[in-house]
Amino acid sequence: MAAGPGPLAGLLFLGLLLPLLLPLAAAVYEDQVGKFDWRQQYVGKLKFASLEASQGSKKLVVATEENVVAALNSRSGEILWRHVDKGTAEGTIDAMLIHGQDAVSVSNGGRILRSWETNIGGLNWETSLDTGSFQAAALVGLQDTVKYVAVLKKAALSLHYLSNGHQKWVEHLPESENTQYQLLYSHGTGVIHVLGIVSQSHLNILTFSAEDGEITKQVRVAAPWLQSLEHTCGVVGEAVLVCVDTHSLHVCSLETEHEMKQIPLQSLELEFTDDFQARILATQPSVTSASRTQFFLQLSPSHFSLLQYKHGLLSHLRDFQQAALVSFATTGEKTVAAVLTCRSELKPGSADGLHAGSTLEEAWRQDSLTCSNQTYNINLYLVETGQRLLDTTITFSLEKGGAKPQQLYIQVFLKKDDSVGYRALVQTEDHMLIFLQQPGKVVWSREESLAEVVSLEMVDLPLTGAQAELEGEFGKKADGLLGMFLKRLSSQLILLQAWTAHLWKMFYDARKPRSQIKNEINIDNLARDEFNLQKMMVMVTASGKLFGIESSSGTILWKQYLRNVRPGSSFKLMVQRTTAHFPHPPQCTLLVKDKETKMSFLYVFNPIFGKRSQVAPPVLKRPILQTLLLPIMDQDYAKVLLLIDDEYKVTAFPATKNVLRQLEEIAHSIYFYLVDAEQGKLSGFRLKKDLTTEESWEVVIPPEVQRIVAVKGKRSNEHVHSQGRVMGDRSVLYKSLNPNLLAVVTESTDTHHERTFIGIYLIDGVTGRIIHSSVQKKAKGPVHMVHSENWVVYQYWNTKARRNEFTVLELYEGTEQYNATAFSSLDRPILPQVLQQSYIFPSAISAMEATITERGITSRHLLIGLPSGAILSLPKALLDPRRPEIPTEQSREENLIPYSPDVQIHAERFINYNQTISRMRGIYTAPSGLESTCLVVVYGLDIFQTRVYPSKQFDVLKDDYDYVLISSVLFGLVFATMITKRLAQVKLLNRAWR
Amino acid sequence: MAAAAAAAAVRGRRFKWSLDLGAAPGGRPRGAAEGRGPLGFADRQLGEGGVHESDKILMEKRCWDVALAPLKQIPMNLFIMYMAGNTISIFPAMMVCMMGWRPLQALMSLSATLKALESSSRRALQGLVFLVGNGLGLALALYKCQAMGLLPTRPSDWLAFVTPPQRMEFTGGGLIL
Repeated sequence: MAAGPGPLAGLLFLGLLLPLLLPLAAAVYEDQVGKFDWRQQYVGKLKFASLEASQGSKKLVVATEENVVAALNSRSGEILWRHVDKGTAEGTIDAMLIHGQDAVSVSNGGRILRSWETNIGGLNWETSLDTGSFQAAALVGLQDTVKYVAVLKKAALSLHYLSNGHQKWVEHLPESENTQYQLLYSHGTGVIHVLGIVSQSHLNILTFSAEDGEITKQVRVAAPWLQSLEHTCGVVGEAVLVCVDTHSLHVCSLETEHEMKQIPLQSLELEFTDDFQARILATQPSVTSASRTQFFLQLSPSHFSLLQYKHGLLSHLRDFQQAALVSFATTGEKTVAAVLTCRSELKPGSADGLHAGSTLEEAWRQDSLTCSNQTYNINLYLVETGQRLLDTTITFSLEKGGAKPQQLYIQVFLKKDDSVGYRALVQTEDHMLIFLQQPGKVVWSREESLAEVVSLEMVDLPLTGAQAELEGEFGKKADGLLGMFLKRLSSQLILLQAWTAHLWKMFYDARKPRSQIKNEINIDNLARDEFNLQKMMVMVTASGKLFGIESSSGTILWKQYLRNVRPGSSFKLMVQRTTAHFPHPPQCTLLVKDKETKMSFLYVFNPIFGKRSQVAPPVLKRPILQTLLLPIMDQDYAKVLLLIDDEYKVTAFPATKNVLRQLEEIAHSIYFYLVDAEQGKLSGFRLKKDLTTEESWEVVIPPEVQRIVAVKGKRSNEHVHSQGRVMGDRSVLYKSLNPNLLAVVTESTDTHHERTFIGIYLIDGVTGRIIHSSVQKKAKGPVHMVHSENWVVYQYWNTKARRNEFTVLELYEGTEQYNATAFSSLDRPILPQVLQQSYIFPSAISAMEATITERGITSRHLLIGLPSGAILSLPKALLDPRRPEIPTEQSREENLIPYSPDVQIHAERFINYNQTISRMRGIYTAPSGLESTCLVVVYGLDIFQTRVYPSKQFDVLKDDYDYVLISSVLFGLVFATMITKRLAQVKLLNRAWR
Repeated sequence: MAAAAAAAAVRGRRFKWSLDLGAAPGGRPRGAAEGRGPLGFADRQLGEGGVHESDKILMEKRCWDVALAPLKQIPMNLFIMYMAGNTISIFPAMMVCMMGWRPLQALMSLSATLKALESSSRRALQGLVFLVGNGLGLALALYKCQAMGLLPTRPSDWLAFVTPPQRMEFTGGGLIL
């Protein structure tokens, strides 16, 4: 009896100890920070930006489409501070107003009003507003001081103190059911004008007293031609409304008049273009004084006119043809107009479009004007006269075939000699921010499209020149014994040369202080390192811009903007040929499918240099539903890509004779599965020899009850080293490694917390056989899932227990393998055994992925992105359905950790220590040349790259490995052996003489 | 008893050894050729019969000892085996190695052993017994290895060499783009 508690206590101790020991694998030492990892932070596409009007100012405050309020350092472009709101509509920033050191933002559809201190990014105050759709916000001044901020909603106008956010008054707007109130105007006179429109009927002009919110005046102005106030109307001078019609301007003073005065534009000799809604751009330098009397009138996409309406008189100041963007800016008393023009002629579309024959391009061409040589000028004009200011030209060029500018912000300041100097912030279509200084120097640029990475692949870097030379020897045809011999000699010579150069560089660098040695990476010296730890990351962003980023430093090596990609397109990136087939260049293929027109096209490029490939992709006449990358190759070592269209016909790329012959041979073993989430239909297709398909199976999951949210197959590059697991009694439990298995997750349409459920189906993609299905009651999405090897891990919200839970499914064949040599889904008489276990997880998650290594020997970890921005590396051994509730001799033999329902988050397991990643959307893992090492890229608003070692670095000597000690001991021992040998000889000799 | 002891002492004293100091120096002892001879020299021939018989028995016994030695080791080995237990650690492993190595060594030097047994009349039987004994020792060592799990006899031991089955079908696709 005395022995009883002994082993039990020991076991408990072991059970406690094991999880404690595991986290050590993930922790980073202090001196390793930033050695293998990097993080890049982004803000997203700008919505509002404010540049301070002084020469010494260091920051620019921005609010973006990604719901970020941030301040950028105007000298370097770095983020000074950044606040990330929710990624959903709740965090949308509707307006941002700047006053002095305060930035006031309205977000969540006008529900939340916040004031930020722009120097350090602190929150001054926050206040919540009543419901109602947001229309406009404006600062309101009274006699030279700006004291209030007015927020216009659909049915109410409220005024808040700028100092503390408290509400001064809120007033209901009359006739708000059919009137669209859209414009808010005040100019320091103590009244606020609110303009509403009843479409194609009249304007409602309300005048409120800023003191008590009383409506002092209400005017109805007939305007049957007007549809919307936005862009078509502006307020100039002392509260004069100017609206533009298709042929004329309409003017009306808000304070005195009751009717619109029509001024035909022909009188100014201005011509309207058809099918373009003319726009008006006015400016009010300060909210306490009247607007400028000058305004821009945009007549066509590239034609602007600077007009002036003063004392009831309209005059034409200057005409700007070929202008892409215009902007006003004010410093002190001077107001200037900045005009961005193309140096050469603007022309619609471009013949050198990135791909021919696509109807997409045709559709897109209409509203795109491109500058043929992509060189632009910015000039300043004095608004009063329309005169050009001397020496104010900024000339800059964008990449050829790239995006055109979309937004222009100007920072004007007075120089010491009272002349005007300025800097310009230009945002292009591909979300790139460029900060320019006179006379055209790019101070910095930011690639904000990287805030929206949608697809990512890692490609091996090419071999060095010398290695490639050696490889090339085997790639080419033999040309005689002597030729081959000479070739060998020459390549060896090149190797020698490279080696001596390397030695020389080492010697040279050794003399310099360490800080001066820079290993700058550029596209010319790109080469694979010894263990293939450095790769090229090919990133596809939602804006249609592709990036090639070197993974060890995060340097952008190339970028390519696909001009004809519309927002909301879906992308699929595939690597057709890796760098392993020298001298053939590597080849990536991007499939882009437009959401609206359903048309798709292929873009083929070299992932290392970003150049468009010479290979002509097939012209896709029908919408493509899915793709399949086959392991068979053509004679140029490019993997064959099959594209299935909406008529279920298959297009092969490349489609050479060789490929078609190979396809014919193996057509009977190629299957497609298509999942239609809307109709809840999963269907399988079999390829026929003539590249048509026939449906072989169909599974319908009724969409009225549950909808399909995720489908995941296995990664094609995954290697599983061990075909089974060794049990405690030394028998083998074979894994069921079905490469065709799909995991399908559904969520119930009923979201009531008592009735909601999620379903998980494991379906064979060839036969459509449902291998396992289960329904988890009282569970809710969003479901995150990882499907790998013989297991599926998914995470959901348990509505009954109100917690996040993990469930793991593992599939086993049993102790006998049915067929050890070949796997065919058509010949599987025995269903696999499914083991299942669930765990409690203390946090929600935002992304999940499993580590992957070259040969699959290293144990697997799950990388779990938490909403807090941390990435947790969780050993898969903790999510193992074979964890016993009561540990036995055998389970201990197997090193199974006894089951405990909760999985804990240990901060030491965070692979990104304190480098949090905002709004994480995905995790990408790639194997490296070292079996122990897995490369990880996490993307969201930020991008983070690091390496993980799930089983520690078993194949690498540690950084602090004591070479000196080991070698000195070794030499010492050898020396000691030699001495003792000598001594022993002497002793023997002496003894013999005795 | 005392008288008998004294008589033996006298006889011993008479026969033990004597030195003739009167002999001429330099030359050979004069009487050597006649009968004295060098020290320890027995003049008469050693008898063949009785001594030969007992030697043969002794020899036989000795051969049997050699042949049975491995068998005699077995109980001891069994005891050691029991005491060592089945855990794999340095001492049991060393013991098992020794247990396996000794019979192997003996079997390798079988020819030498057989040569030693050559004088025996039941050479074949003894050889066989020796062989069987060593074989048993070896079997015991193997059994111990098996019990300790050192023999690759289970499928789990060959798991690392199992190649993944070849894939017969290719599938691809997913949610409709």
